[in-house]
Amino acid sequence: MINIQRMMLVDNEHLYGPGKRLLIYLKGCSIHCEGCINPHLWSFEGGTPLSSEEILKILNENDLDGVTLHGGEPLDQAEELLKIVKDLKSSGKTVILFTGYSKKELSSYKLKIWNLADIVVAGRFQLKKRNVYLQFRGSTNQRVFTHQGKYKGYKLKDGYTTALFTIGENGEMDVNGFLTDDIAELMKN
Amino acid sequence: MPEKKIVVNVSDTGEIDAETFNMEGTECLEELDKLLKDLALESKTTKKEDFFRNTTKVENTIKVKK
Repeated sequence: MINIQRMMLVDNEHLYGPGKRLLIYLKGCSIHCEGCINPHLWSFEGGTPLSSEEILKILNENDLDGVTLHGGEPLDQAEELLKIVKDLKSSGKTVILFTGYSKKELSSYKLKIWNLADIVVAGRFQLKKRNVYLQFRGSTNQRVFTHQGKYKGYKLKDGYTTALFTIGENGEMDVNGFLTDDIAELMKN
Repeated sequence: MPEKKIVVNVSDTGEIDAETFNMEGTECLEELDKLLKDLALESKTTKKEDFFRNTTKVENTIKVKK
């Protein structure tokens, strides 16, 4: 079982990867990048446990391509996450991993997850290298690996950013994605 | 009813494309207008075929202030 903050169905290739996916925000992060857009996910306290069986049920019921693992820092739960990633891959599902670690920092559990993932977006977010016009990444130092699996050789589409506004029944608005300064300013008003 | 969504793409040359999903009739135009009017200098809206049915999908291309 992994410990998560929230999960949601997504369909936006620029932000979360190809196809319809289950986006999972894992709870807790030990890295704490300056300027992180999800500092509310740093704490390992609280959260909700989630199993392979529950994930596969959601994927199959909604005809999804796979999961996108976000955080928090997914690899800080490597031992439990490896079991889940193995189950997903053996069921023919794809896995996209967002991690603040670089490959050379990884222990065995973390490295196994990295090697199983179809796409890995890796590296610390660096505020001084922030660029919102990149696919998947928030700063220019971050790297994307498409070393194996369904998306091997995937071509990145940089040059624009995407903001996804979801409007609830009561008019409340939830925003996902990398915002330009213009749109971020607009959202404050 | 599926969630109402607006997807806004902003290019590094300052152009914005916005698409709405699961909104009916003119609601999508109103929501886009609320969201983007402070940013836009000029706007061109293309109503897709779906606009004239219940489910609306509108593409809106806007030249953004730089």
